[in-house]
Amino acid sequence: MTNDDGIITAVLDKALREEKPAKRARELVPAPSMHTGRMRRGIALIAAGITLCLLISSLTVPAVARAIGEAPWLGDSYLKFLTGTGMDLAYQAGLINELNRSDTQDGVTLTVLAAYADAAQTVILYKLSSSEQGKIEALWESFSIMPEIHKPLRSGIVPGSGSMEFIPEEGAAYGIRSLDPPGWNPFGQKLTAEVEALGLSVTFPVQTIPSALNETVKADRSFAYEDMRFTIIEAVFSPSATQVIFQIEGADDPRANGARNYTWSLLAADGTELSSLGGSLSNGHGVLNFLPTHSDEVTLFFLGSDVLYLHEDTLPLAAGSSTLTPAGALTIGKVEGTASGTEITLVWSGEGLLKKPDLRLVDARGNLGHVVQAEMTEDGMKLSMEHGDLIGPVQVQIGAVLIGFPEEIEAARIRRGQ
Amino acid sequence: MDNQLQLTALAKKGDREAFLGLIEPLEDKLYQTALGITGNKYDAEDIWQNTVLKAWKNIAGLREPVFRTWITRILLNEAKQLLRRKTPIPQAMLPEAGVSDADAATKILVHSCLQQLAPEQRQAVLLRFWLDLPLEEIAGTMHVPLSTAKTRLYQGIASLKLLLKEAELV
Repeated sequence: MTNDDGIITAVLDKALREEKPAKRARELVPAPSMHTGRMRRGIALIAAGITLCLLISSLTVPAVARAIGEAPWLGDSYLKFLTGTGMDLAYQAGLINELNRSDTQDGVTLTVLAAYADAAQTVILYKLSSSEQGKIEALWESFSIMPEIHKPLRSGIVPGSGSMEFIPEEGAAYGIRSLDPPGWNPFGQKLTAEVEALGLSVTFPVQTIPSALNETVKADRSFAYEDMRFTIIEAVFSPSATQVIFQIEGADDPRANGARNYTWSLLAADGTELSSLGGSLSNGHGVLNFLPTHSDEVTLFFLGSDVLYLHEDTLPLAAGSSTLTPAGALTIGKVEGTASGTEITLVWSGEGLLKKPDLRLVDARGNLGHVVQAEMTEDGMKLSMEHGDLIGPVQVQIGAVLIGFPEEIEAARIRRGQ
Repeated sequence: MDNQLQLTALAKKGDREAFLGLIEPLEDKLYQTALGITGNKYDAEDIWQNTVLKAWKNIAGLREPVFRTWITRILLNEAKQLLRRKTPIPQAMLPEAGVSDADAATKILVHSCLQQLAPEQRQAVLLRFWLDLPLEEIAGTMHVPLSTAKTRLYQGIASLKLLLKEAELV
């Protein structure tokens, strides 16, 4: 071990050595007669959570969902999964070609359905399936089966983000990987999708969209927010996304002891809001991705920020219990039992709007209750908590509060074809 | 090692004590690794509990010769899934009552530095320096080729050293 290695071990030791889990393995591993029931419940909750996310994403873009129905080679389940990702419009424009390159090992097949690149992103559509019933579900629960995407000649892994969804009716998992702009031209190159743990490897070409179908428009607009300066640099209009590049300079609010998240909105010329596809912010350099648009003008609005205030405290679960956070006071207004747990009304007396408290219930045995639904109210929030039987005095453990500071600033109006 | 093989064989047949015999020597380190990944005690507890339950459920299908590699892989997957579901806002640790200000400040700074690493680099650093895994096992746990594991680890080390220096921790 080098001297540097010893330094890293020493600092990690200071941060981690004394930390212990609240529940030991012996308390968690159930006796054989009970464990099957608990596992099923856990899986049902995870599946419900995934289904809920899918339902929400499909409800936000109904027009896109109808258009996607005209892509039979992707299959109905996959198309539902892709709703709201922007890939449907690129497909309707005839820009995505079916690849269907696959590899099968031990009864599991990885199929790269399509691979597409434009000025905003590179997107890989894929599927994991098996002729053996239950095989994909078992793998899905055991460990990560999301493919890594390797550069040509295995010269490195392409960073990016993505999601997968297991469709029980088909016994298959679908996925989409959006790769960060590669810094190299993928035209004529081949990437490799690999699921190392399953020994699956598929090499495929990337279909690159002609540059004439992409448009980059300079914005060069700035505005001030608190002690910071935001500069909107440019917008990229591609068949799969509308991308806005921006920069932040200056000092952040010293009150924010956690982290700050900025909120944006992009409107087409007719006032339609383009749904967000996500983004990133690193070292003051930000990228925002929205659904693609044919509009000849878009307007970017800055809608303020959400600030995470870290605040650890434990309160009795009772009306009137209160804690003072760095941004204001959080008080339990009402506590009511429900069929599946407890409903708690919180009152916020502080700056901004209470958007999300990071809290859970814990009883005398360490059993936990989690938030399954949150609804903003006029002066705070109503939380639905789900849990089993809670024994003894029940407490509320708070870790942080997310406070919203709404603003509305027209950040830039960007016109195409200039 | 013989004892490990015996315990593994029994655990795969549903022997609860054998399974606990495999996991109990690792539980503090596994929880601490989850804490290093998330920087948040509540998320770490969630990840730890889900890892134990999933490992118990799937122990019969264990093909990995080394239990530690297998369960660490489950832990990393749970961390990935939790971070995917949550708002991607990094969180730093807060001090507990009874801990000196200097110790508390150090903890916060170390976690803050860890959270600034790319997730894959953070995981590689924790697997190497906290779980003491050799490179080959890190590669197997993270499902990546050895060269990729090396790259992530060395980049993580370099980045972390810079951050620790900026934070005046080294």
